[in-house]
Amino acid sequence: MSAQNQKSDVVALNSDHLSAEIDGEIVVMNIASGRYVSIGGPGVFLFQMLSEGPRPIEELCLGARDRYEVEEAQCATEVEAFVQRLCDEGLAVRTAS
Amino acid sequence: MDSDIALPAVPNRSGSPADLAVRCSADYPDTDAFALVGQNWSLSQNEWRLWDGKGLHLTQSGNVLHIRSEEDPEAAEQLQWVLGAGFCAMLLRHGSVPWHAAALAFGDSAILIMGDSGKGKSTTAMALIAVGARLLADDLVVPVIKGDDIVIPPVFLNLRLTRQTTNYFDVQGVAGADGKISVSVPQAPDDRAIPLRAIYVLGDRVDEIGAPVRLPKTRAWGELLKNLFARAVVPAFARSAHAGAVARRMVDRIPVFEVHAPEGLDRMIGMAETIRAAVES
Repeated sequence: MSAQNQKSDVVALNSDHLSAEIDGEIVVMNIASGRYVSIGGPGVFLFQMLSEGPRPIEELCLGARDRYEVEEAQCATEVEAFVQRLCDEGLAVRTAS
Repeated sequence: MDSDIALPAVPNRSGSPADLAVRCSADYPDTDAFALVGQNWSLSQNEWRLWDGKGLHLTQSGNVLHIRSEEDPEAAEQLQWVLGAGFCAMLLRHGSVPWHAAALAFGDSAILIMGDSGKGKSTTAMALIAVGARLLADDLVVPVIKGDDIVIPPVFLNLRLTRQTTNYFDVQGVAGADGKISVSVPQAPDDRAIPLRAIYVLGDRVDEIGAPVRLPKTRAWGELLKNLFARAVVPAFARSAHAGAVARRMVDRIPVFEVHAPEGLDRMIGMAETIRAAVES
């Protein structure tokens, strides 16, 4: 799969999760597994974007770059890592557009 | 309650008009009638259905809980499942959030003991009773938020203990199919709901007794929700956000500690004394 295809992949949060904002972080639990993760920093903004509905990767990158004034390549790397973490924990699903 | 089957610690016939009727049923409900279907649940506007994968089905319709079982529903293991899954589902449907925990009180201060199965929750509860605590609940706790307080009403004053534990603490009860002994705790009647002051989450057992460690709120929230009773069916009743929010309010107001039960029943009293001293300080 080319890098261009991956940027258009759509990320959607798993509906069966619990979340709460605590002391500036967002804690999210996979209801089925009982595993939870704590998200801080720019991840809070990205999670809030996803909470509004499914988003293409490139849209998450654009939103993060606009908010945090970060270089494109670095932003893409960090967004990819964030999305991968959510998917690994069963909190999100990534589908090719 | 108006029940066709014998329920532990709860009268089968309340004498007044029942809020809930429990009936044995020979028929399975038509699953096509349910709008939402999950791994082991299905839900429509007025009914829900749970099954345990072993031939036991629960269906609530209005104020009637139907039980359809391949085996004798009064067999201890299945009955525990009825009490756990069925009643928790009803509690969730009515907006209450049930927790898998033991609840005890020292005077006017209640504590919850939470932890995975096998971590020593009920044994810890028995040790706390031995040093002066009053049992409020074992296994199923439903805190009530009243203004700024979170209070714990007493319910099901039974402990399920291993035979080794009952022998050590010299208590007696009725053995279940799983070998655990159901012990009715003798204590003066008291139906007051007690304000919750602390939550203790049991970690892995250790060799030496250590001091409880207070968890940061982010971790406390996660550890609480790991002990949400019937967590898998929470989405079925559109209670995900509510359960998360209730846990959020609890960690805002109540300190949550991690504690480790020591190996050996003879050292449980020491841990219980540590907890009692912390609660009463």
